[in-house]
Amino acid sequence: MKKNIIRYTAGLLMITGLISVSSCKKILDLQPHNSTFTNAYFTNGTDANTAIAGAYSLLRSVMLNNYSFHVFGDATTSEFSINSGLDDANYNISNGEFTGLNVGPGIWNWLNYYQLLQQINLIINKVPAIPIEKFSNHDDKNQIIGEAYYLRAFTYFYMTRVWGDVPLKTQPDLDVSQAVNIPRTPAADVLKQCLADLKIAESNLAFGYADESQRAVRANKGSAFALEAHIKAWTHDYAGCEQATAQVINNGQYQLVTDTSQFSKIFIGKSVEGIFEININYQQSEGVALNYYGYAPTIAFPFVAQKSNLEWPVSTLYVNTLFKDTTDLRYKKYFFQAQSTSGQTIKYSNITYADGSAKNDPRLSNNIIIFRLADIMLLRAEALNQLGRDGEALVLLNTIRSRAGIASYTGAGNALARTILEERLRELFYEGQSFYDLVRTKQIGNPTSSFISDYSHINDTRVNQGGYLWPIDPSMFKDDFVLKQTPYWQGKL
Amino acid sequence: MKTLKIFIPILLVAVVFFSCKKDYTIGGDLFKAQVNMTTYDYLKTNHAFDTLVMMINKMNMKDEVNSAGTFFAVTNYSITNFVLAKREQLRTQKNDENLVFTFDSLNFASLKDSLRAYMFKDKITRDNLSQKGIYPQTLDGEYRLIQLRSTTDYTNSIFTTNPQYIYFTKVVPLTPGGPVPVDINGVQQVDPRQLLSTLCQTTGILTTTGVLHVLSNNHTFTYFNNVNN
Repeated sequence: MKKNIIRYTAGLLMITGLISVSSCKKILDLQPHNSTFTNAYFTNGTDANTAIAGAYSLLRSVMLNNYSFHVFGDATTSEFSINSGLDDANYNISNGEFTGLNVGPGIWNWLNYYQLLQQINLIINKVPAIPIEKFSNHDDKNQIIGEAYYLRAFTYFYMTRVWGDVPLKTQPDLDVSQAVNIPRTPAADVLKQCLADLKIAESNLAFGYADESQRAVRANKGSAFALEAHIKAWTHDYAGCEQATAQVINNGQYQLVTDTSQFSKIFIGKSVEGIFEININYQQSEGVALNYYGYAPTIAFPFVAQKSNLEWPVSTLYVNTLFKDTTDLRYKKYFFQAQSTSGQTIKYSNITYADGSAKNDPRLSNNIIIFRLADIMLLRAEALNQLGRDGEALVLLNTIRSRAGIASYTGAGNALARTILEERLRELFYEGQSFYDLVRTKQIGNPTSSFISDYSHINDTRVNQGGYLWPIDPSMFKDDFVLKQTPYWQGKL
Repeated sequence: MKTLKIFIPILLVAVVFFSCKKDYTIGGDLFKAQVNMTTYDYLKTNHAFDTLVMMINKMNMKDEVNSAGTFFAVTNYSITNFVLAKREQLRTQKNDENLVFTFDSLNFASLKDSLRAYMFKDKITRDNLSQKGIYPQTLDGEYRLIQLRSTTDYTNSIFTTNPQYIYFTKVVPLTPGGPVPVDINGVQQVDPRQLLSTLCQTTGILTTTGVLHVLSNNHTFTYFNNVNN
């Protein structure tokens, strides 16, 4: 017995020794093949194409992470009566009881945004140096550079709406040991950088899509102008916003989907109305697996066969205040049983079952819609109204209204501004826009506007103090001594 | 070696025979669906039904509750939802946003049939149900769909056969005043929007007088909010 044990041990030791001495030699000597951090990469068009695809993929994971796209843009308004038993963190957010500790820090940590920015900065840094002959399609080079600048502008704009001042980093860290911590850059400077990036993007990109499969899920010149319009509106530069929206509407080659039976296709994605979207497509094995990491809190049975929990029932009060006219087509197309306590929002309810008729493995296959034509048309109406060109604003507003089958509006001045905002809240319900629309138009907590007074948890005082911005995750201070908490949240967490 | 060979089976046998004796269960007891009291008395013991019991008293329907084979009980929350919805409607109708309307303001005599719509003559338990469901008449003459629906909530898809919940459903017309089906085959044809479904949060309590199921807290008594109701 004892002898055997000794023999086995000795044998085992010899084998281990042999393996560790003889193996791994060659692999260790080689240069890393697929590292984006060395000059081994970025030598030809394929590398550049894969790199930009990687950037889109990172952007997608940033948006899906903690369901943040809809938490930032929609849970913060009163669109939903979130069920505290099923989703306590977001209930706290929707109810204005967010104190920091009762909501996981994942959602206010921006680390993954900087992973995305590193990828984008690498592309901006490296792709221009690739000779144009190395691209199989010579147009690709400018296209990819333009997309990278667009993505950088988009990411910083998105971040600055969430956090205000963010560290502005426009160079990649080519050597990790040289990486330095940088303080938060004032939001105004970040937005200036965004606009500068967009100028480059616009000059590199073209309108329209040569390849239909890239429609809206890859940025083009129209996406860049749409983003520029949003940035300018956010900074209340409505004259600039008006010019950018004119580019999108007149030259963008987009059309409204007027066949209302095709309405749900807008939210599946790549419709003629789509300007910029995040690709989520089951057929390309990129669906969101609801039983695993995915989350679809606004739908349940019968849209997801075996899901009985509805985490985010729609707020009946909010829907009834917005959709006073229930003949509105959108009321029927966006909601399911909105008057019950478990009303579902069915914009994004294109489910495919990976296991067929057993229906145990649902996959959501709806793109995240970032910008679409209806959004830009209403933004233009808002800008025109602000510039005193109410007549032109009315035409745009009524185009959207007539598509939804509701009566045309004839008003002017502040009443028109209010109607345009309400139209945006109606049209873009649950598209991650409502909260920013309310902040931009300074309608949050305004006691004179009836439905918006429902946002009592965020009032004017809080908005003026910067309380519409999110705090940053305290764990990020651990390795970064130059970082400071968002002013409103100092001493509150 | 030899002792080890003998010892291991002995240990196994010992573990099998001596472990998990009932003595180890401290507090509580094994699950029993039967409760040794009438449906009404059982409702009285559970505070989730305080308001329901008050309502039954005001309506003098204690005997009817006890004579029903099956009762789908609503909790206090469902009645609150109803009172709030009714108040909201009255406030809009009378254009008075400070109108006071509470539980006591309800007209209990006229609500008797509404409560009967939650009672059935026969005993309905999980054994009588299927995914297709049954469509029996309530004591006030309306029909209700009672069915099982399988779910992957909390389990994802780790089971080959998923757990099933009991759902209590009112079938409403698609347009106000439109037709509603009168048998289960008709129910299969309707638009999903016509099905006002409520999850049963507790099911299969067997009292001495019948079967008791409890509807989810977020149900609204009488389905008041639905437009076509």
